[in-house]
Amino acid sequence: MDTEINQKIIGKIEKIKEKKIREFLKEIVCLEFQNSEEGRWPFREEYEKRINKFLDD
Amino acid sequence: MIIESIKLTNFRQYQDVDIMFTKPDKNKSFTIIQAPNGVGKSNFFNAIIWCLYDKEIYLTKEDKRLPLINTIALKENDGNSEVKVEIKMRDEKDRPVFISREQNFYYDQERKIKKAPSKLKMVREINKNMIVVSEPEYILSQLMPETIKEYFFFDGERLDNYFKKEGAESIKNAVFKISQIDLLDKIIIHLSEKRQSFVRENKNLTPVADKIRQEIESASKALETSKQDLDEKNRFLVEGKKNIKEILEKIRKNPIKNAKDLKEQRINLEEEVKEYEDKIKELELDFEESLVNLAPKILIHNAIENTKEIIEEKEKRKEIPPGITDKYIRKLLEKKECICGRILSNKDGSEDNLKELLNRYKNLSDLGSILLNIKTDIEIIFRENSKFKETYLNYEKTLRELEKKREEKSKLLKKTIEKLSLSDESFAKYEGDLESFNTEIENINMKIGELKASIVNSEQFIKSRNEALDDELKKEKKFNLLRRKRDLCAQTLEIAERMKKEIMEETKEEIEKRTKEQFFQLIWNPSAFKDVKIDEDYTLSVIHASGLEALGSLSAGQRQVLALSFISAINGVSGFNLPIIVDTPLGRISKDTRSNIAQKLPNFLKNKQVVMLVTDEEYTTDVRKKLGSYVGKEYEIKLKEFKNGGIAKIIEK
Repeated sequence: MDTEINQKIIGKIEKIKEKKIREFLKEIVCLEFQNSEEGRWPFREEYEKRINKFLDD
Repeated sequence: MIIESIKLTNFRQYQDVDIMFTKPDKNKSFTIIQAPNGVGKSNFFNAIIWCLYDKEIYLTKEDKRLPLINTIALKENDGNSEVKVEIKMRDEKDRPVFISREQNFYYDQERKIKKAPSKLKMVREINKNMIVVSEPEYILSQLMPETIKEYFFFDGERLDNYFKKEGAESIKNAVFKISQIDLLDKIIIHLSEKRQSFVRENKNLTPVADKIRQEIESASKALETSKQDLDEKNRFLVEGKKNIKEILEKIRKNPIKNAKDLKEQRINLEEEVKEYEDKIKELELDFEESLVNLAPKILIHNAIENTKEIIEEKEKRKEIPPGITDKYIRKLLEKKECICGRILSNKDGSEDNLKELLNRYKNLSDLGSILLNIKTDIEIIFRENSKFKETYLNYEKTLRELEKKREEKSKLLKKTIEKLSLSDESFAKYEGDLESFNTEIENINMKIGELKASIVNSEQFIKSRNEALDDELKKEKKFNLLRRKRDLCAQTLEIAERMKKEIMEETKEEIEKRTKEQFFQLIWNPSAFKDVKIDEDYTLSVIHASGLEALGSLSAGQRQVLALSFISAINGVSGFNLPIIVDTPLGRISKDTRSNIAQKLPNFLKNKQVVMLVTDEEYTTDVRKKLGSYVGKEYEIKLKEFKNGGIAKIIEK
């Protein structure tokens, strides 16, 4: 996970018991961090890709 | 992120400067750049800000008139030259990040200096390759957001502005940005949107599910509007509270205090004017009395002067006092002896003659004595009359002095009354403003209450409708995947919302705790204060030992200590690990506190790379000794003035 993300957020995510939610949240936090300027590129597809990925897992 | 080195080319007085910064380790993390005022500390600081954000924030009036480019270099290069600032950094994984900005300057046909737009360049190591970043502004905004720059790059002389200009709202926003709470906000918005979009995009929903979906969407829109309204009202509330605080501050600082002083002054002056008036009256009465006493004597002055002359003439003629006294004649008569020694006899008429002489001298003797007494009285009157002039002149002088003093006091009294009426007017105005702001706040609070209630209702409604929708979706197997997607979003959303709330509370509490700890460790008179608090709107309060709010009455030095404590607390709590570059950090601080700060600041900024730009007055032998073990590199700026401008060098000590 990106080291530039607030360690508090990372710490709280790490404490989430349910693995699927934990990993999913990690990914979308990174996704938001890397692309946090509104409307830079379609979030919808990226979110959907990750949601589908975690459902398939 | 840490800064390895900075290279300046033709940036104002820096024609060619390349310096390395202390790479923080367990022991050393400070870099000191020392220079007297006016040599170029702030421009060195500006060079870093310019490279990162294309602006200079701390310019002197003189610098504002001059171009960014070193004018000597521009002339030497035939009126076409470039300014360049290059910053070599290392990211958290020790990967190199090179950031540079350059700008071309040239003379136009009229030999006026023109400039091209500046260009930012960033090269980063990605997968062990050095890559030129295609959108450097964007990446930089992620690594070192401009909105938080003032918490990492700041001017010690302007720290006070955090409490003056910057409202709590901007501090709160900066803290949220620093703590990346906005990141969680975006996740919450996007997950909610995504959860809803799954049902919206499904064309095979049952009529019941579709109806619930529509209800949810309509309620979500209303919820969104209410939230925006609430944000706006909260901003108004913060603004209103700020206005009230400012008015209370004005009242506390000026009119009431002034009015109180002025009222006291008016009473004192009124008493003084009355005292002078009484003194004048008393003086006039005394003078009148003495005038009444003297008037007859003055009026008869000529007559008694004549009398005196007559008496003196008589004296001169030996008429007074008489040559023989009646007493002597009486003795002769008793002894029956004449003045010539023969026996008095009635026969020769000598006794009768002596008796007649006695009668004559008796009268003459009385008259002579009276005249002589009169002469003495006349002389006394003359002496008194001669003193009148002196008395009158003294009276006139004293009267003039008293009248002058009374006039001065009366003028002061008049001015004081005028001021007092103005102060009363200001006070009345402030009271009016206070009342209207309080009414406004009351209305806003009422509206906020309504909006909060409406938000809670909408959220409950949406929650219950979502549950109803899930129940409806459960009825058909074909919706299984849709339900699972929605479930994942809902569960993650719940966690993200909880995380946001917790981080917000923890961050505020931690900043408050650290600010308080650091303030009490750095301040020279800790017993004067009881507490430092940060409310949920990020409004800072310093509580005096008496329990009263003391932020407004802190001295410049105390405010600087508070700002330093607050900034280092924000830095410590934030997830950002950026270098701290501070210009004139100890400028307004007294000698003893400076020493205390120098001793304790390195602990507050543990593991942070710190660059301090200091004056000779700040970087005293004592400060140097205290910071010494934390300082890895120490530089001095030397400026050489030329006819066309100056050239500064940074020399390692």
